[in-house]
Amino acid sequence: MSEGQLGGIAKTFALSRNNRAGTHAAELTDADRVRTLYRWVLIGILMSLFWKASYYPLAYELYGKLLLEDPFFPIAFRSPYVLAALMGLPITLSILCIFVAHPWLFRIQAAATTACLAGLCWHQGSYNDVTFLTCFWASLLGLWMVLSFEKPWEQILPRAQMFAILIVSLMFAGGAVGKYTPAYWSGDVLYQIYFVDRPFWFFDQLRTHMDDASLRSFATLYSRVVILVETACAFLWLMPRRIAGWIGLITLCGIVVFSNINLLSVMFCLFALCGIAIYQPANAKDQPDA
Amino acid sequence: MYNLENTYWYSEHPLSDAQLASASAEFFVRQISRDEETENRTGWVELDHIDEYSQDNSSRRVYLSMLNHFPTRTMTFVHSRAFLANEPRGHFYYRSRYRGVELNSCYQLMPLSENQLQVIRKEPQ
Repeated sequence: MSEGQLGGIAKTFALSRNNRAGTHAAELTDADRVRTLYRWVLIGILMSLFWKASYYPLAYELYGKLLLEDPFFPIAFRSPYVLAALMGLPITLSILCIFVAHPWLFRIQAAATTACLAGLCWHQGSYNDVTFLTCFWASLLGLWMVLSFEKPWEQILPRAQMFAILIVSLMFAGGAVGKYTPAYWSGDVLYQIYFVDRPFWFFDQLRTHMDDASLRSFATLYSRVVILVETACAFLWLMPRRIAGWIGLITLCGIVVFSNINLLSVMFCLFALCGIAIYQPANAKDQPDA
Repeated sequence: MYNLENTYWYSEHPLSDAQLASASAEFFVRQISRDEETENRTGWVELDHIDEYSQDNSSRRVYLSMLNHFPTRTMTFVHSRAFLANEPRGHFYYRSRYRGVELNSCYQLMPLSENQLQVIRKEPQ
């Protein structure tokens, strides 16, 4: 085959590829793109909720066996049946939305998920569980997205990225500000909670290789690094979004790897938000004007 | 992502400030020195030097721990409910500290029936 023939084939192949990409871009509506982005949030929330899978049957069984009559909680928010509904409904609807792409289903699912997660933050059986709190914030972003299906993609993507980073920054800010107290700065709290006897690879290694005094000193250093990193990450919203997304993602992964694998239930939905911030469409049509 | 310095005590019987402080001092000294002999890392503290409890061994035990979450979840959340299923009465004391502010609270649990506990908020003694 001559050089000219080879060049012709390559040119034809390139043209056909460009045509396919062009057709694909033309087929995708703005609503399709926003829906795809929304599914990221949805999958993040679902992974967070699934990571707690062992909690649900145990909680339901125990709460049914032992009712706590506490006037702080409204009667409905002490009921194990309400708890089961608040947990079951968003999971069921979210799974449905992964397979069925109907605008109204998305709207109903997003509203129901946000309401149920708010309810879980308030119910006696799940009160103040950070998993439901981070999922609630992620679901708020999701709700905003499904209500914006009609708006142009060029508007939605940068705003979604900004809101995602704002939420991640807020979570870090909450963690950091709560630690601005002497017992955290000295390392006492984290020493007691993690270093003394928490069974986790990182702390097991430290206990094996350090004497008591070194372990206590390391707890101070660890605690201060946590405070400083969380404080810095509270300002992610000031950074370029992609960089902020990567820093947020790496920091969240670091928290899991160096403190507690159970925190993945808190983190998965935040990973999804960082993913949205990092996302950069390859196709020129999908790329919003910065 | 944890917040505040939260500590809680659980005791079958009411505890005074002095008893809370005594249990606290004993527990944290043991924890920080990681006493290998007693291996007392589970949070249970024996208050054998408190005279008024010396007659009854079971009432001298106080469970004490620091928390990495909202304090009253020790009553409401799943693993704590499992604990309450075995000890369906008692007093929970909470102390949250943030910079110069300290909040103390106390709750008493009273069985209402076989599967019902009443939560009564009390003023710390």
